Amino acid sequence: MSGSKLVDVLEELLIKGVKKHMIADTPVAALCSGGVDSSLILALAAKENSNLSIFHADVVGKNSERFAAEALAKHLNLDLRCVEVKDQDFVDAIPKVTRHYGQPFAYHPNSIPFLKVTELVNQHKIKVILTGEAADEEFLGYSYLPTQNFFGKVQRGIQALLSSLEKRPLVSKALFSSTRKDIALMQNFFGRFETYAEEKELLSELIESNGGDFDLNSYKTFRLLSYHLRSLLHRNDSLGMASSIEARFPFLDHEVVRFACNLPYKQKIKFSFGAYRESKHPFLMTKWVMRQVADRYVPKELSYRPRRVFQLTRSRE
Amino acid sequence: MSISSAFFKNSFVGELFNISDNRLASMFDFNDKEFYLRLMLLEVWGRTFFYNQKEFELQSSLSKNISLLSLQ
Repeated sequence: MSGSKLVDVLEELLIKGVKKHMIADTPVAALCSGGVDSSLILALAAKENSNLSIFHADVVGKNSERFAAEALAKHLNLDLRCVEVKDQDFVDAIPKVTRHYGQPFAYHPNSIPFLKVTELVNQHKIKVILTGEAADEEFLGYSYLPTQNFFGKVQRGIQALLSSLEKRPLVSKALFSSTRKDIALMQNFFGRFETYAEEKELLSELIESNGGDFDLNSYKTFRLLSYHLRSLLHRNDSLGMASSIEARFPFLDHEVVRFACNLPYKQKIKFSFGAYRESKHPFLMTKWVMRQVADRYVPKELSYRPRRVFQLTRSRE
Repeated sequence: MSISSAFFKNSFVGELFNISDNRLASMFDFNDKEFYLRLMLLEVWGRTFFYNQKEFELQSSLSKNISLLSLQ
């Protein structure tokens, strides 16, 4: 199937998915992060409801995406409601977020803006929100993915070298202090080892069912959906419920998931001059097919805008 | 954001990993901010669910021990 035909199919599936996710006996709103995923979902939802309420958590600072959220609201002629999240709000909210999240939320510091925006949604007597969750997993939106195969090999090589050095007592004593080892021990604690074990099982099953002829790139969507998305959904569920809000995910409509899992890698990450601003993977466009659909509904500068990452200590997704 | 090692005195993470306060403090010489952040979030989790500390107590302890240079 050609690229443009695939774009048509995805558009149709997303229109159906959004319609289904808007069925409710209470008003349905949408989150507007300013990124392409939520922008596409809310643009499709606005076709169904021209008075759609949209909400944005503005993490004040150089990575604020408020300008993009405002541009989209203006384009769609919708009212944007914002809550500002400042540095001190982050610190103050840690205990509350931890209590609702139920586990240390080290991998998802954006849990705090999420909680703040659901509190705002609740103040407006809305109980259901649509979000753009799962697009990054289905269509490979994370910025490390285009170069993962290359850097993964380099990293594995360095790790193999370090672990062989660590086995030599004299070298180990000189190079690896006991404090470094303590840090490594603690970092392993955050390593989500249980999901890695499941992931290995899933990979071996896939390789077996494909008779060994298996493209690892195709596996990336499966992998992200099976372990990374799970923690994001937990975040949305636990912190949405903290404000009595039900979060819904049109990208997880079963037909969209099926389409994404079967979509060739080359339709997800593609060479494109339009991606020249991507600092981590210049000229490689992530979520290509989805951006093509978004291009039909949101201004071009939003559908091809590089993602901005909510940061605490350094860039993390 | 910078986290003071004083936050980890008689801490949950010290007990969990069986690491003394002094040894824990020495980890703060490595300037690995992401590691401190994770450690802090683990500590807050432990104090919430194992030491039953109240939200306002945790907030006050965090405010005393976290300096906000800038989150971004």
